[in-house]
Amino acid sequence: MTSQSKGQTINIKHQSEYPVISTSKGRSINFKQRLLGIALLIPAAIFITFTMFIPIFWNIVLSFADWSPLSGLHLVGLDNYSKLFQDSVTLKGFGYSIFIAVISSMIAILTGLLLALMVYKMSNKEGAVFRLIFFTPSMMPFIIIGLIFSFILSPDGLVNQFFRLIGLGSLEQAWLAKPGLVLWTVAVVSGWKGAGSVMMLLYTAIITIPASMFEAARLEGANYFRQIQMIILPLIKPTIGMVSMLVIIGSFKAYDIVFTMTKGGPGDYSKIVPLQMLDVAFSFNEFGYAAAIGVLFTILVAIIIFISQKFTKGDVYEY
Amino acid sequence: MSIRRWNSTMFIRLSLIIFATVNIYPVLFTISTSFKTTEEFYSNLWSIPTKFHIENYVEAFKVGHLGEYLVNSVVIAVATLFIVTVLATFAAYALARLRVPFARAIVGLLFILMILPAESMVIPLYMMMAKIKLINVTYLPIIIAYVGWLLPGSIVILYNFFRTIPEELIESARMDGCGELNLLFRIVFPLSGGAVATCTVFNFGFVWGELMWAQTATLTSDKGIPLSVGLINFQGQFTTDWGLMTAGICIILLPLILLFIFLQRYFVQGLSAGAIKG
Repeated sequence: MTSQSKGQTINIKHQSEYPVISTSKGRSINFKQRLLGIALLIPAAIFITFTMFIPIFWNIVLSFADWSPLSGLHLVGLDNYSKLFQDSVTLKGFGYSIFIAVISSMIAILTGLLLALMVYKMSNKEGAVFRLIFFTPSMMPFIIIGLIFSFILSPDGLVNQFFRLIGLGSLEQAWLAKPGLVLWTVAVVSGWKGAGSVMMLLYTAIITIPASMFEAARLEGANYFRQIQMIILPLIKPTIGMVSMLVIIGSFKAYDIVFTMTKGGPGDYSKIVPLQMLDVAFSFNEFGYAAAIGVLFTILVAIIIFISQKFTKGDVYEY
Repeated sequence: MSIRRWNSTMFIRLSLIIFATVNIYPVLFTISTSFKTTEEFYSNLWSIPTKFHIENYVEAFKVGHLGEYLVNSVVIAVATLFIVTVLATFAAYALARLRVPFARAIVGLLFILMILPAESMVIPLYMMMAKIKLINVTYLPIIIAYVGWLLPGSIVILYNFFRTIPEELIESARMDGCGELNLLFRIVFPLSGGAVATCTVFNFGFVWGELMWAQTATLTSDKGIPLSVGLINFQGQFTTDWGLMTAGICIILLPLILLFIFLQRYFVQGLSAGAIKG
């Protein structure tokens, strides 16, 4: 009995390593499996096709055309794109989007790294409490963060009241209504939200570093700063790269937070690309032009992801 | 030596406590404000409410229709999460364990789809749904779009998890004559609690707070408006009635906190499991 089952296991190993099986029975099982696999994929494929593939394709077509509910579709060539490059509101929108993405990503990554390094130094129980507190904002949707901060940052809100309380009334600001300041405010809030998940991912990377390494460093008299510099940072560099990518991708999805905090205001001073795009489509009924904005935005995001991937790629140390 | 070390630990602890306060205080402040009357709020901003006034909540439900929006959001969230979990499990299992041709290429494609911004899909999707007269149906346009957008990410997470389930386990069940679907529901799915919980929490966070598509899809209808859009309308109506506004924020916050507490054990586990190298 035992020897038989052993024989089977060996057989199975053989099967999984070499998918081509000589017996006809094995082949029919394999074929059935594949058929079932394809059947199981179909429902998901239908949803994804309907909500992603077709819209993306359609968006590209639409960007070269003019469409309205009444007149239907007719091609206009590159008109939408040439219009885009003459429209200062849209061009500024691209600038605002990039600004928010860059600043908020930098804040999220640096703060997250700092927090992870500090939490690592705490004892297990204490660290768990801090981790939970720092991670909570990251789990909240942007709209909740946006609503809370539009309250906190309002002229009579918590931040201004706090400055008044400690006698620094001169620092009071209309945080969300001052043209130069509003982008910074949004970027800082959005970066602060992102810091929690960065901290969590980097912390899990740090705890996989073998304790013996720190032991050795301590024996040689290296303090924590030196340990960070010589051990932690080089070893978690690949994770930092991956996390940075995720943060940068997320930082472009700023519609929710900007809409809840400023609605694009004051004036157009925080009207980032997605807001402008939807405005063009649904307030002015220029769907073709809006599609062109969408296509260019997607290309921009793709380029920035590509650059950041090149930038953050480093050597991987095996340990 | 020991004094210096104690000092640096103390310094780190102090910085962490300060940052934690900055982190958690806005939320606590919002909750406490929601129990205050407007006069109380303006007379003393810092005080904690002396008495729990629930008038703000009553008002929010009565005037702001938040009860109706809450029901809509729950329906949308439950339907979306259920469909996504089932379909993503099927698809991920097929890709990970059923020897579907080009499985790796498909996963790569899903990864790219996951990254693409929704901005490139919203407008054409709206037009498509308007064309087939789907846009004015209650709930359906929102649910369909959310399911489609959440599937790629969920499939990728579950795919990576299913591949860590030992092949021997699956093969031995097959040898014992277990059918593939039985195998999926009786063996693979029960083993994947952590991964499914991780997916559910992230997906719920998305569905609960998504704004752009929810706004677009309910542009021409006043039925089936979810809480996120409802609160934004609310914000426009009652800009400086902070008692009412904060009550609204607490209503949208509460289900999230509950889910977070319930599933925390699983998904923090899942998060770290996914992050470990290898």
